[in-house]
Amino acid sequence: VYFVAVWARTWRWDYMLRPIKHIPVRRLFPVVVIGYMGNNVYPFRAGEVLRSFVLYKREDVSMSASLATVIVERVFDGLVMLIFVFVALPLSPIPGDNQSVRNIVIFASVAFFLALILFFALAAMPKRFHALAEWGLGLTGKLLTEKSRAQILGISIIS
Amino acid sequence: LTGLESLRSFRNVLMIFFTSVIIWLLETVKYWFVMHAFNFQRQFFRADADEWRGQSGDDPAVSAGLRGHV
Repeated sequence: VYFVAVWARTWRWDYMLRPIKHIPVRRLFPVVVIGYMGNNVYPFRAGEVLRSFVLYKREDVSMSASLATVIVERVFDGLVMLIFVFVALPLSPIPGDNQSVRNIVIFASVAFFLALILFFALAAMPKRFHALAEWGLGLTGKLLTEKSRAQILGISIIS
Repeated sequence: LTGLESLRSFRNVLMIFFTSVIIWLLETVKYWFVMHAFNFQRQFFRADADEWRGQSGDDPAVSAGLRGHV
C-alpha cells in the first residue's frame, strides 16, 4: 500500500513537472523515494530539498522550479486533509472541546485557500508578480546589493 | 514562473486534486492497516460517539486504539 501511494505521488509530481520536462514515472520514482527517505532521516522535511537536488543532478531540472512544484503539492495535500476533516467530523464526533477543533479547521481552511489563490494568481500573471517582486526589492534600498537582488529574483522568479 | 505552469489549466488542477485525494486515501488505508497491529478496532469510515464513551471513559486515545485495552 505504501509503495502504491508513493507511485501515485510520483505520477502527480510528473504531472506537475510536465510543462518543464517530461520525465517517465519509472525514472522519477527513485527520486521521490530518496526524498521521502530524506524526510524520515533529516529534520524539517529536508527530503523535499533533497529530491529537488537529486532531480537537478539526474534530470537537469532547476531546483527553483521543482521546489515550486513541491510547495504546490503541499498546498494540495493540506486542502485534501481539510476535506477529509470536514467529511470525517460529522461521522466521528470528538468528545469534549469541539470549539478548538472547529477553530483549527476554520483557520487552516482559510490559510490553505489563500495559499492556493496566491499560487493560481502567480501562475496566471507571472509578469505582474515579477514586476511586484522587483518593486518590493527596490524598497530595500541599499540594504541589498544588485547581485543579491538578482539572486533573489533568480531563485523566486524566472522569466 | 517556472514550476507553476501546471496550475494554468483547470483540467490539470482537477487531475492534481483527484490524485491527491487518492494518495491520502491510500495513506489512510496504510495507517488503518498498521493500527490493527496495536489492537485497533474501528470501522474505516466512522467511529461512533457511544464507542468513544462506552469503551474507555474519557480517554479518547484508548478508544481510538492509540493505547491498548486491558
